[in-house]
Amino acid sequence: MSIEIDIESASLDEKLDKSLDVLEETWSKFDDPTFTCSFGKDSNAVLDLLARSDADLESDVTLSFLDHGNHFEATWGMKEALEDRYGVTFETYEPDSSYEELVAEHGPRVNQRKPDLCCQTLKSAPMERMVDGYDGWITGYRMDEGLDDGEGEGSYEWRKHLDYFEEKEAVTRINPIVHWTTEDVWEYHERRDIPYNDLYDEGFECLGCKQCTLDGDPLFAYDSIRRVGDGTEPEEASD
Amino acid sequence: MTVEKQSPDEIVDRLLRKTDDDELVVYLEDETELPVSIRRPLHLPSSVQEGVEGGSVRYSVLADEDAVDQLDLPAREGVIAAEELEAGSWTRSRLEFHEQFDEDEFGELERSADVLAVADAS
Repeated sequence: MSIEIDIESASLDEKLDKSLDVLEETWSKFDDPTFTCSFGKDSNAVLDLLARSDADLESDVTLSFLDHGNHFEATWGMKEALEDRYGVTFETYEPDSSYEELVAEHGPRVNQRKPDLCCQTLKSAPMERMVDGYDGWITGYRMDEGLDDGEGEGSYEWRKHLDYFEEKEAVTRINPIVHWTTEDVWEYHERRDIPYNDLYDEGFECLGCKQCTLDGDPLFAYDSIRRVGDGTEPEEASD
Repeated sequence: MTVEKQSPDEIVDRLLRKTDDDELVVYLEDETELPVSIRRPLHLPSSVQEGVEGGSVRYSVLADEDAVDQLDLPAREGVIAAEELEAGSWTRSRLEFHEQFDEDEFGELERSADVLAVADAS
């Protein structure tokens, strides 16, 4: 299934139909898919699509959440609200090492000084465990995130080349809203009355990790996250 | 040093109201009085550190340059650290300094002292 929709001009209804087709194909092709949810706006839209699809959220897909210890307090409120709304419980994963252990070993401000090491330890490594053993990994990745971005390693530029299904060595990534724009995501929230994190209204665009977001550069995770599920070793972290 | 000892929770409560570049005086258990400015206040709301049910603070602070010489500190930048073992119940904050190789490279922990109190720098 290739992306034949013009993501700038197609209507949300057209895109929605395609997203539901992707999920229908997912349930028929994959025996054991998992959905990793951050409770950001893209994840929340995907979760709602999963609930609208033919899947039984209790038995057809594993729902998981990464607690890396540095979420905004509001993220926990979103998790609770959405678990109540959809009647589901997310399996929570944690990293093997904490931020405090990174500071003990590498000194102050390790997230600023060694962002690759921090992201690899707190996010990418546990995410590898979260998708390990599953044949499909449902994500909230969108091409739109890479389109207006700068080229190069420190960006989401790679996301503009995504497809609905991406077969990687370790797992197939399933990207049901890959063709949605940011505006589509918000329109869908409004249509479906999906709750969202209030921090978006305060101007924050990426809520995955509290400290780096407050530091003003939420793209720190760009490189190590990109490799999750690829079956490749991350580049040596700067330690 | 004339300062009243603060409880661990009171110290963290004061720290959580501070932000980048705020200036503090940190009073240590060895009767050292250290002026610092906050370089980055990092509050992990829900730590995944083993044994910590609540959050943690890891505030990066810069010691006054004169104090670095006077107190023979291994680095100018240190960390104020504390853990919320149970909800609302914090360990006594510590001020820690690692050895420093260059501006951005730190090594082993060289010095750690309990914090008796913190106060706004006058």
